[in-house]
Amino acid sequence: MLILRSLEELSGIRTPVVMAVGVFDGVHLGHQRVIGLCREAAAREQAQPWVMTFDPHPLYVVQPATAPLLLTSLPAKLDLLTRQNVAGVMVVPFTETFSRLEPETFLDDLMRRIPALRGIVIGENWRFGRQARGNVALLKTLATQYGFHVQVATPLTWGDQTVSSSRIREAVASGRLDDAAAMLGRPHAVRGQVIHGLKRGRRLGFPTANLDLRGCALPPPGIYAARVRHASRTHAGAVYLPMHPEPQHGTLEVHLIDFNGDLYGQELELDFAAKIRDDTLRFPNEADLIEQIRSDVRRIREILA
Amino acid sequence: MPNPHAAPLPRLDPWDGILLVDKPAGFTSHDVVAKFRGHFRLKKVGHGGTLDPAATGLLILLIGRGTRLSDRIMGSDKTYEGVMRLGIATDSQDGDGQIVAEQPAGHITLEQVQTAMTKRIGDQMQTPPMVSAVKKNGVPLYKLARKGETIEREARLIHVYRFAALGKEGPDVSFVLRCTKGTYVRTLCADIGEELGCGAHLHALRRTESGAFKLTDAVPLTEILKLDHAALCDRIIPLNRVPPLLG
Repeated sequence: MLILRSLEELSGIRTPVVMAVGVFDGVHLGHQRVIGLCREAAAREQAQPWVMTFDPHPLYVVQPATAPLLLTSLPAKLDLLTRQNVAGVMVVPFTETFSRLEPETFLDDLMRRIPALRGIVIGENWRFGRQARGNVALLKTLATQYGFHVQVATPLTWGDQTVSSSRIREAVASGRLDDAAAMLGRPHAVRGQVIHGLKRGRRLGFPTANLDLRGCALPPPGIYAARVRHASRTHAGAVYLPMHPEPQHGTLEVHLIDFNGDLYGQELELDFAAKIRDDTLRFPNEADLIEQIRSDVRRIREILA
Repeated sequence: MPNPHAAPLPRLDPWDGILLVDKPAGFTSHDVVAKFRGHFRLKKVGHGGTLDPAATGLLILLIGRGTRLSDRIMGSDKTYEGVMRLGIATDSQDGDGQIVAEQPAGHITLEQVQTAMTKRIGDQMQTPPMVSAVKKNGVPLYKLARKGETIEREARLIHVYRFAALGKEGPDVSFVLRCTKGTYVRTLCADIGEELGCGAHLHALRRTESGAFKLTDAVPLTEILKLDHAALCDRIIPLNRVPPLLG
């Protein structure tokens, strides 16, 4: 799968292209439906299926103060898109200048730079261009003027409501990990590099890897069971998401059960599996704390077995 | 140390380059070149693609060594804004010709026109109209047409990128068209009129883009003729600043 960062790189392409367009944070089941329609349309017209997405997330440029915590970083999103059987992903840099383009101008640019573009597949609520003025109706009008076709994916519902990235973020933030996993089609995952922490866990006999996950959607503070992926192996992990994290020591720490080794600087990916307990217990001495951690680890082993 | 045997660098005159002109209606493209050349007493002036006498908009003048860019500029894609009048077909396919048929067109909707336009997006063969500057054995077709002759013309490959019906007022439909060089806009209009069953001709035409050059950067011919030599040189895009890719 090709990953391109500018529209010019697609301008030389001769085979027709059908493009699924969206921000696709989380690449959830609704997004997967849009991309699936794109693959089908491409197969029908002997075209290549492509995904066009934007980086950073448009809200970080348009309304940075209220931008949400994201389900996926760009590398995570690209890895998930790779599994969607598309010919390539076009990552359009979302700049302030770009955000001010009129929808008609954005589309005109797109059609000029990718002459092979034959179709666009979107979700019902996709908006584009300055002040999000561009919508499905405008896109369909423009499609007749430029001679491409538009396919709109009907929204996917789960539990009487539409599956959306914001709904999944809410589910994660309120600790409903099973709901989030049902809408994502997999457990909610975060990834980050291991940084140096306070080394308190090591003294207690439970060394932990500290991860800086600022900007990622995280469940509420507490102790969690997680599957931890590191260098193509999966370990059971006990996650501590503290109530008051000290960012220089990371937003969470995870103890890899039955693992010994140096992880500093390496990348870990955690799938949140289940919550074990809240971070409300306080311990008069270290022995009590160690005893509690032992019992947490026992339960996590059972859950993940 | 400079090589004393090196050929001297070719000196570029300040007016070697191209000039973006907004052509007025009623002049041939050649009239504009002749007026400009006479007014500024320049030797070599050409243009980068003909606009019909009635058409207005972007005409690119090639001055001095700028004439070398002729092929590149003529070969680039063009954008037009125009008005198509439904219900009246003419022999020249534009407003200058003789009316050959008149039919009611009040029932035609903007959507129907757009549908006919959408069908014409993409690659296609187009036969140039009899009233055109295309030459047959060295003789422009319009000269033969004036004598009442009609001859076989060779169809040519063109590509339409965008064809948008923007609005309708009575029988007049305003539109935007982006296409390759050598596309006869009036022929597209006449074909659409025929398909809709009412006939049509091109009523007004304005070129807004030629390759990377835009009408918004052009100056009306009357304004250009008011400039002195120094001000003219400021307006001319020198050869070394002409964008290498003309889109």
